[in-house]
Amino acid sequence: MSKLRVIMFETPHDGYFNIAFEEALARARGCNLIDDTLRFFRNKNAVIIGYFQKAEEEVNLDYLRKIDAQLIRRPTGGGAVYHDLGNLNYSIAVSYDRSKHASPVDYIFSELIKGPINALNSLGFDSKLENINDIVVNNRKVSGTAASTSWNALFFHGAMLLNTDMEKLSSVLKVSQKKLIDKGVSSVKYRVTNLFEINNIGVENIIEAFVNSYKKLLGYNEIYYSIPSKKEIEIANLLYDEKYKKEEWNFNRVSHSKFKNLDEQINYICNNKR
Amino acid sequence: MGERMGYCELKAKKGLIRVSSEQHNGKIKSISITGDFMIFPEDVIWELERELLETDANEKSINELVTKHLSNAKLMGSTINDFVEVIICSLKGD
Repeated sequence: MSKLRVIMFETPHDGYFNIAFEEALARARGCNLIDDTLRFFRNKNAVIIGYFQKAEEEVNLDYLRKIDAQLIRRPTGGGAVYHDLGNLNYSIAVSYDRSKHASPVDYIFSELIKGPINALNSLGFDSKLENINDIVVNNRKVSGTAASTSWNALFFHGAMLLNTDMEKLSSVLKVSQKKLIDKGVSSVKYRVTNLFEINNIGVENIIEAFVNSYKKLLGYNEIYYSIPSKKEIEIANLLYDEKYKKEEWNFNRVSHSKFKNLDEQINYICNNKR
Repeated sequence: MGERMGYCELKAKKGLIRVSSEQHNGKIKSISITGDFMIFPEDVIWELERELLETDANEKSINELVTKHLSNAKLMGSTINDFVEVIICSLKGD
């Protein structure tokens, strides 16, 4: 019997822990500590950059300091995003076995990405996939997504603009002229939109639609709501202390392999029967 | 030939690839490949950067090395040629 666990676990004032928990979720699923899990969370005021990005190339650092936002590098590729409480983040970590009939990456971007799209469509939005990993409604991007197949799990996450401060978003993110020209807009704020500007449907309805969407999409028999386990928190604490709150990780664009010492400690938590 | 620093960016179908490089007497001394592209497994980018060090900064060597190194990677919205092109562009000091 397949089960989907749903957690609404967030530390909005501490984006570093929120993002450390993302990696912890993938790792915990990868070592079978947890069932397939769908998570929702928010950050209060943070810029999240992609794994391959350099902070100074993507972020207006003076403005970041002015608004006292945190800068956190996530474990997945893709572009920089601004998070405030008007942005709903979602992530799903599922068993690697799901992708047995396709490459793991293809499975994520052909199947798992349907979760948010079907959820929005069930609420009456005209939502579509565009350009591999963007979710658009009425031709405006409402959600960017990213993924990883590291840590023996399929991990997919995204940020959904519900009611984000667009002035802050467009002031803090540096967008290359080449990208703006490609999109035919003069500023990122003309390319993206808040979902609640189209229809203020309520966060709880969006979450419910996501849960139902993934239940149907992946054929779960049971849904249950939960809180993080002690071991998940332990893994997240390690990642937080040793990686996500370090300047070296967030500003110097170092690779995961630089933190290899964590693997052994995390494996110990995974395998230690307590 | 001396020292040369270069920077180039390329808008792939999905994502921007930025390359900063330094070369000395025709050999790559440092190189950094950044941007919002997606490639799996992710750490292949750091391995490629390491492989490129001390490589001859000419089109043939770069093409061969990048093609060989990324041939087993999964690229989403970009191609091996995109990476070859932007690295060569950076090394030309454009």
